[in-house]
Amino acid sequence: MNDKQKKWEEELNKHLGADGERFPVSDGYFDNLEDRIRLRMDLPVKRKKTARTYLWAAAILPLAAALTFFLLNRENVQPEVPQNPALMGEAVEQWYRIQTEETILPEIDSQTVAEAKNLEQYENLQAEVVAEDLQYEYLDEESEEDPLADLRTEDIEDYLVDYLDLNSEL
Amino acid sequence: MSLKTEHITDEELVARLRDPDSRDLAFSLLIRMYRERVYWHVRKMLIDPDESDDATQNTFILVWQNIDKFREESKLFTWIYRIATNEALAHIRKKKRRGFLSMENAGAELANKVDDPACFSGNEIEKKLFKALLRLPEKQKLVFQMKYFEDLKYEEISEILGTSVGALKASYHHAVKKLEKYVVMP
Repeated sequence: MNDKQKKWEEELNKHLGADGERFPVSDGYFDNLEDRIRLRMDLPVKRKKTARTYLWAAAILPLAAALTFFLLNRENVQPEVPQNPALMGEAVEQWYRIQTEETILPEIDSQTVAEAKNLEQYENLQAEVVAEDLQYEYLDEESEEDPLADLRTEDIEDYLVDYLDLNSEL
Repeated sequence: MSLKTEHITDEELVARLRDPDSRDLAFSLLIRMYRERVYWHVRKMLIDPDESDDATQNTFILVWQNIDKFREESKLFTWIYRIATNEALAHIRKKKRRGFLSMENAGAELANKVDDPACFSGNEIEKKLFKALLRLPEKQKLVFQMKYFEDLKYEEISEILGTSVGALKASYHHAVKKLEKYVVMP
């Protein structure tokens, strides 16, 4: 090759871009090429991690981390178990107080409290009704009349004599 | 099992392609290693994106089907290039037969595609160059493309086209001489 041709080649180089710049191709063409070849050949197409997969992972991972952090912190509220057995009672009491005041109570909203109050009132009312019923039962027992109270001794004796006579006849 | 493109030689890749246990994975690797080279090679010859896609897919399918026939006397990539070149030429010949065109007219038809923005988005100099290149005789066109754009050695082009190095040098010289006339730099 002569110098003129070499010079022309060098000059041409300055005006040329990359293949991807002079030939337009669709987005992701090379990434999907293998799948299209495999489909034509009836070979299994491999699953790839798409941008959507990464977005899901990005959304779920911080959520899972936050949940784990929350659960771990909940457990940390519990007091340490004392080495001295004498202090155990105090520790249990403290644990109970923490569970009640800091863990259970905050989770009970006002509606639940109202419902609990209604339930309490209902239970009180039910207890009153039961008590009244019992009272009536006692009253009935007390007020029940003696069927023999109005009978005189003579009448009873007559009745018994008649009864004995009748039995002897038989 | 995983294969990394940077840690595998052509010999290993061919061996894995021939082994039924590793064939599938090796095929994925082969496509990843050569998809862009093959595609840009056929795209320069066919210009049209759909035809280039078809020729690229056919190339890999033929590699898969004929890997046992590869004798390893040449490099794997020159064998793949030979298949890709033949596929692209088959596309041109098919069009020629369908349109009852001569090779010269088939070249003119390809050159018209350079004006289609869906096929070509290069600058004015590149447009002039490709219009002229596509009208060259087949061998001159291929030698120029592989030597100038794809930076292949004459020995490699000789393996691909089955032509002697001397004949290729002469073809290249003629190609540049013709292109010089058409493409005048500002």
